[in-house]
Amino acid sequence: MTKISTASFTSLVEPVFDRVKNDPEQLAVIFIGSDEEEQKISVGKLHSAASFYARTLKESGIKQGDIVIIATGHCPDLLFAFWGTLYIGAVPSIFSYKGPMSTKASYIERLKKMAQNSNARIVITTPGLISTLKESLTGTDCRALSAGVPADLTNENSFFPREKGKEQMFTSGEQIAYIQYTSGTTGKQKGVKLSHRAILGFVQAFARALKIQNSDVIVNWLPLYHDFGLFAGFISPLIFELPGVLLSPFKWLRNPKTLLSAVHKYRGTISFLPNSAHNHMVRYVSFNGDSDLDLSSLRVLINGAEPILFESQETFLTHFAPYGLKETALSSGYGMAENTLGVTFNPVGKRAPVDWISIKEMQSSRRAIPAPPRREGSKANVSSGVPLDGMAVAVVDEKGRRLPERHIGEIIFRSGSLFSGYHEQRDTNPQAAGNGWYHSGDLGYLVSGELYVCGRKKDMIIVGGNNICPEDLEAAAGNVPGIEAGAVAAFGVLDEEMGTEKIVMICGLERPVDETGKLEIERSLRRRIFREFDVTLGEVHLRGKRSIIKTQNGKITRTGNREKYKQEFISQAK
Amino acid sequence: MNEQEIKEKLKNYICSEIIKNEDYPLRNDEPLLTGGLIDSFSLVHLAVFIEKEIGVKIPDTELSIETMDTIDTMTERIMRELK
Repeated sequence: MTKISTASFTSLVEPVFDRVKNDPEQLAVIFIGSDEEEQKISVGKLHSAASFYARTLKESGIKQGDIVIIATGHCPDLLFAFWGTLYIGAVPSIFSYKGPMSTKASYIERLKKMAQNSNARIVITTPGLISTLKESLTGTDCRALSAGVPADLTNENSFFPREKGKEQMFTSGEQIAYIQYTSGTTGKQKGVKLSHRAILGFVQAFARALKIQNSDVIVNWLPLYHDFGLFAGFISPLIFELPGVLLSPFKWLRNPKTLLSAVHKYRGTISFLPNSAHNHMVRYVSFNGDSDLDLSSLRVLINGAEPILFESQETFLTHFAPYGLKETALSSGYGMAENTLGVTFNPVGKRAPVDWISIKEMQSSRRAIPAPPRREGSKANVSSGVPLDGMAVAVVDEKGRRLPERHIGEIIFRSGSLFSGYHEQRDTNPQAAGNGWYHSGDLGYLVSGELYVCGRKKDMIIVGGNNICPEDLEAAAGNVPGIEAGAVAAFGVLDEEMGTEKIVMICGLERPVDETGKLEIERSLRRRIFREFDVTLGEVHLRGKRSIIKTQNGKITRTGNREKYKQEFISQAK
Repeated sequence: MNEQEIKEKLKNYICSEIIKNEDYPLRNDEPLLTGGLIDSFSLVHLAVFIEKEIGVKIPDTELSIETMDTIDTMTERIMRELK
């Protein structure tokens, strides 16, 4: 049995030091690059390379508590730089990868903005981007460092003490270990500050929920700038002495079968798949005579980070069951960056339960009344599981009063893995407002201790597991010539084919324009949103500013505009 | 298939299957990725379409703005393979 206690550690680096001390040859990570080349990285190698980064950062003047942005994309240096930053007590934050969709210029522009907003002291990036980045950061307090470790690292081994008790920089688990950037519930991107204690507490609870065993192999294709990929796919296996297989997200996107091949090859037992990824795999994984692919080792496949659709899981099971995928592996979870990653998980060994409820009752009485499965007027909700060890979940009404089972209200939770506030914002204790309970802003209900999530109170749009804040899109649209500022509504609409939401924007025009004029405005809007946020709009509708729905106080209502949109476009299509 | 036919084919697919608006007056030089019309999932769909319907496999490294941003650049890349 793998030890699943992190109680004796104050910081994330100690478990790694312990591993290096006990057996430096032990396998830490199997890293599969975009070219599918595999690298087996031992804990000893990870430690030496991390030590190299630690020394280099220190020599660059980086001190305890300084923010270090890592923008290397999917490469082993990401892992080394991450751990090296932690070694000197500085705070890493992983920036999104440069994908096929971005140009060098737009990527650097976003990176610079992030460096400035976060007050980062240094940005680590690839040799290919370093000169452009340096140029871009001229005149700022932030420096740029090119990623790369020397081939011979033998001298680095003694740089950091491996003996426990000598890592004096970590005197308290409350020290910040990581900043997770996320589109918060309102306004601009927020940096969620996570302490060493919160992360260690989470990985322990996560390991217990997964009933981690020595034989487990965690296979992950999610990017590490996403909390799901970082904490579930990289940090957890490293701390629990399990091999972690890390795949390239772009490779997966282009050829999702790479995930299954890795599960087959390494006898992967645990993996993660947001809902839209289920749809993508069904669409693009076909079998041409290679039916020897064996997925029977997979015991947990967690669907999370976006709304879970019963249909997506069903289709996925039908498609992959002939290759050994077990029904009981279909799992689920609910969480948010503000709680490190997860709040609830489906207990392992059983498929996530499905609750069929009446749509009418849900809308009229805000209750989840059981209804016959697979009938018109019935809706399937997949359970997000039960609270992790040391966490508790409740559902409350608008006044904060606890609601009984099957009543829909706001999800609140109590947890030892909560964040320490938002970076660069004067927040009070995040739990203080709720008397020890954190108000998630999400909607759900409970049945026999299982949480069913059924909406988000704060209008957050989730596209492929990425949170997008409508306020940000609306503000940007208001700056597009021809669009009336303050007369814009952005919201998410379920795209069943993709298994995720698409962004719809309804924009009021400053003055009437003809079709050609409208098209030009739409083009400017799409370009601007893509450049600023790296997201693609699903639909754009330009209207006379008076036909944008507003509340009595003259405020744009997203719900109102979404309902009008649904009446116009969705009922029409059916 | 000649150049013109390829452009027509791509245009029809993009408008009907990705933008989902057959009346969209898509220009051959209109930026699709940087123009915010096609997301990364749809980019993969498009690459698979090109492979199946036109018979040209675009390597992963070329699924980028340089090759895939407009119908013109895509067609140029496809024609190189067909010639």
